[in-house]
Amino acid sequence: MIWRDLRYAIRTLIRSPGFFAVAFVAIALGIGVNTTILGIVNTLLLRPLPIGHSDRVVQVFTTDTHFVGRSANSYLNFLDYQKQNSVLSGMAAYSFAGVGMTRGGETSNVLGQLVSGNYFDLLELQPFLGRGFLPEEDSEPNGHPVAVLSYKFWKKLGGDRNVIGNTITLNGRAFTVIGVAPPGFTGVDIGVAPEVWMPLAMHGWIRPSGDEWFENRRALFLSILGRLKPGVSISTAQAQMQTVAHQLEQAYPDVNKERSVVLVPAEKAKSQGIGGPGNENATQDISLLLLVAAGSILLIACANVANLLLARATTRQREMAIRLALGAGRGRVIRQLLTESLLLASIGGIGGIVLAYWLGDVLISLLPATPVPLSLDPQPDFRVIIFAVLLALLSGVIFGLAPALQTTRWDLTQALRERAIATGGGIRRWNLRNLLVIAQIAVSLLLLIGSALFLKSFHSAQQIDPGFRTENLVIVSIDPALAGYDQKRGGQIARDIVEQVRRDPQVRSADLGQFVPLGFGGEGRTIVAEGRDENAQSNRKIANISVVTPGYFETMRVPILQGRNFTEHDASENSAKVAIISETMAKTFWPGEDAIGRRFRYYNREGSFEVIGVARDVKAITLGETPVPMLYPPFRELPDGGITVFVHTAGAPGPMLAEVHRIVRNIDNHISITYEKTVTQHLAFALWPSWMGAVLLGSLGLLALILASVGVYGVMAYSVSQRTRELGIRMALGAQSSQVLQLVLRQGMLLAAIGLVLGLLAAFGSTRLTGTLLYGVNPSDPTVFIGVTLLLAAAAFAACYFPARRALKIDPVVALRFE
Amino acid sequence: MIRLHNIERSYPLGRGQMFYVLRDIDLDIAAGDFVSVMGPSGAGKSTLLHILGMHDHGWTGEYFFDETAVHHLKSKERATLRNAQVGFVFQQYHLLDDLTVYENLDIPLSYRHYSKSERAALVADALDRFQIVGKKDLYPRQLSGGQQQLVGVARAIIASPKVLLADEPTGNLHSSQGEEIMELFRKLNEEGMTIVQVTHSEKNASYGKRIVQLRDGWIV
Ligand SMILES: Nc1ncnc2c1ncn2[C@@H]1O[C@H](COP(=O)(O)OP(=O)(O)OP(=O)(O)O)[C@@H](O)[C@H]1O
Ligand SMILES: [Mg+2]
Repeated sequence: MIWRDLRYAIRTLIRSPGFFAVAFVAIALGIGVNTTILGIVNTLLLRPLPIGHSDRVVQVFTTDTHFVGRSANSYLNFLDYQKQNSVLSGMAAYSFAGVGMTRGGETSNVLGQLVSGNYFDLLELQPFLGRGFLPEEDSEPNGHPVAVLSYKFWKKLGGDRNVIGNTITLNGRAFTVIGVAPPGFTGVDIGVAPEVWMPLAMHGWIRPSGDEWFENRRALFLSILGRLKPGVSISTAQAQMQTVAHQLEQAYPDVNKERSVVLVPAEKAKSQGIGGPGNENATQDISLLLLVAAGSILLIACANVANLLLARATTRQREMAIRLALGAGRGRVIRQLLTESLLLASIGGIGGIVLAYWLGDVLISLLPATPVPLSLDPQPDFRVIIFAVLLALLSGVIFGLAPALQTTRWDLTQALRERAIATGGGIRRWNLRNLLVIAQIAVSLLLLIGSALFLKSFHSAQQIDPGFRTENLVIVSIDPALAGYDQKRGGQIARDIVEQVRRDPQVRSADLGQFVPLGFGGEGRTIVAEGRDENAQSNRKIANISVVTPGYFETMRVPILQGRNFTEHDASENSAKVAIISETMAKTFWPGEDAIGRRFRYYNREGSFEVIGVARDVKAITLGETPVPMLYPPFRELPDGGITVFVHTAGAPGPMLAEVHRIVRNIDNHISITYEKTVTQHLAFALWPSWMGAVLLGSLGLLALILASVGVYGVMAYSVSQRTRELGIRMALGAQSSQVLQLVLRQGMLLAAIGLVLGLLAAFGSTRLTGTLLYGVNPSDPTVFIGVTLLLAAAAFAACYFPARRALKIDPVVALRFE
Repeated sequence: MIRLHNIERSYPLGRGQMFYVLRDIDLDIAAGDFVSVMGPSGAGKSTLLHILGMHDHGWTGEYFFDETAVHHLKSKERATLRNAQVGFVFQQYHLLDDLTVYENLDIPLSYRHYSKSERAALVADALDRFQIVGKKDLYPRQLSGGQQQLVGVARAIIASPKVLLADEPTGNLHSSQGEEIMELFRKLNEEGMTIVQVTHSEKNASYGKRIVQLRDGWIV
């Protein structure tokens, strides 16, 4: 039975190749877009972490009333949490660390993680080769130079199965490979994939200047994972952990003041880092937005196919009526028709999945080059494929059922009697087809407004002045500490490098700076203005710190607004401590006053700085941010986390990248270059989130526009062909061409207008939900709303106009002749 | 009123050959005349009527309507002339299925220069005159064939044309219904309307003042 239905369905599809092609393209696009978006969302949110019983694993974050969002933890607190809590069966810690790996005379930058000895055990991971760390390997400082490789990194190194026991050179020291992690495991943070793991106790080699961090209870750098004891809920666990944190706050009031903890399921926390602190829900919000947009595309596509099927249904009503008259049950006929639409859906679905793989490749190629290796794999996995197949079948039922019911609902006797030419519009003026067109227009208007808002947001993001030089600038970050330099020698080697760079005739100026604006991370400190009570919460503020050489402000074109620039003397070891601060920092600490000559110090530290100058604000983390306080002390020695060479070039900066690279290599080929970009590439990275949003939603919007126009065109063309007789009669009764044209256009534009109004209402109601994702754009921006409405109206008009023009060619004599 | 001279109508048959539907038609119809066109199926009767009704433009020859040379008019001017002077009753009624009787009657008026109130008055008159007031809100399929054709005739004359063209107005009707329509035509003709009807029935033809016989496109 089914086979007969299927054979017949295949024959029917082959017989109408035009219909088949259009329907196939619509379904393939709809399913393809959804599969792609779902692949992304799957990667970001849905795919469970490949660890044992991931639902019982939580991340522990520090909260501080001074910080937005959640923060990492301090090492000493971690040790106390471990000892004092009674709700977690185990706690592991990890911290990202870039390491320089030397192979064959070349040092390249590798993303590593320092982890506590129980890390792999806590996550219940079975290594692919060898073993994970033993607790004793994380006991003695620098005592056990062992490493576990990620599966991907192991493959990259050649995939040697006998790798266990081999040594690799990290930061100039030999580490023994003891294991290879299981294939899917790339840590518990989506997007950043560590390539090598090392015991926390090795931090002296891996992070030479970071000793202080491990002794300072204030330094928040460590991520903590915990496994809930059986029967303990996360809220119980959090309550107990907060009690522990409260005790620690009382025990160490100077450093733990106003700090507590929160517990977040690891499955939830895994993607919340992407949005940055205080923006934990960004990933989820964007995913939801994309899913809604993709779902709308599928609905529009389904509406198109349903409309095509409805049009065909009318012409097939006689066929079906005859089948019914010959004794086929209604269910039987419906099944036949559904087989056809399911077949169509399956073929379209397969096309869509293929399309999704291709789109996945395109998306990967659009990922920006980042300082840390991004690991996003939007390619559909079996979970997504299954979903795509179900989605295709579901849409097959959705777009197939209505036409099937309509075809068979037709009154038997009447169908056999009825003239071949059916009525158009009319009593069933508000028939399903028209409703579908209205819905299509409404949904695509909503989508188009959304994408226009994102495009505009991207545009305004591009217009944002980052506050520093945006052309002829090269940015090269190095970390000599990773090659074993201490702070003093590291500072000297950085100066040597800059000296050599300056000798190049193409170089206007070259300087050192600790902080890369709009880059990754940086160092922040709590600052207290001198003469104020440091215990009063309101007197303490966080500032980003960047030690710089005197020419930095010139090289970066950051004007000094007040006071003076550094001199070489300021940078010398024994001179008085001075600093340049940003406008915002001046306003934060000395509102309405002159900041020059004022003094401040680091919270909990001795020794104060004198403010000698105020520099203009720069965008520090994101283009959309409100300016944050920034503090520039003079460069004396190598800061923790490395230093960056900023080069202002005379001409195009591209070739200078290679030149700086060569100079660094010449001086010491163990020094790892952690980041090298022209400022244009660098800014493209900062613009990437809004660019990606604009590209994704923009293409979805464009697709919606095209599909909706095709939909309107199809319905109008069909309607005109159905109305041939009616229009012929009207012409015979005296209608002029312009009146016929108007009649058809009015019908189409009425549908469009209703759809546009509904779409506008929906957009007004919903775009404010995207407000936090947009830079510098009002979510109800009138130009966007009006412009997009006009655009869609114009497209709908064109889609009505061409079929209407065809109506004019109707010859009443011919139209009325054949009945 | 109407003067045709040497009207020819042909359709291409392919391979450069032509199929002549009407040949060398000469016909004079005076104002107030009532002509019945007869002839076997396929003789070209409908074709002739559509030429007279200025629906068809693919003919050659001379066609004078009053003193206007229709063959020199552009299609827009023909449409204007037709709207002002001609009413048409179709063989298959050709009412619009999705419009009520009232709305069907209103169509020709909507394409001519009448104000809203004039249109309402004229439609009300017609409903009255054809005694179909009670049916004004019904749809064509809710009417009998005779009633539908009655509406078709009412629609043809509602804009008070000088000439009424009717293509087998009673073709699908019972003889009694047909008679009713013919009586109506006679009355309209007596009121001064020029009528050209196509008919197969001798009896209907006898309502007219004269008969024109068509055979294979020729007037005989
Ligand atoms: N568009 C056309 N293309 C080709 N031939 C046509 C076309 N329209 C009409 N004819 C031919 O012209 C001839 C006359 O047709 P017409 O409809 O005028 O006949 P008729 O006398 O009205 O016949 P009936 O009594 O059956 O209505 C027919 O042979 C028909 O096949
Ligand atoms: Mg005929």
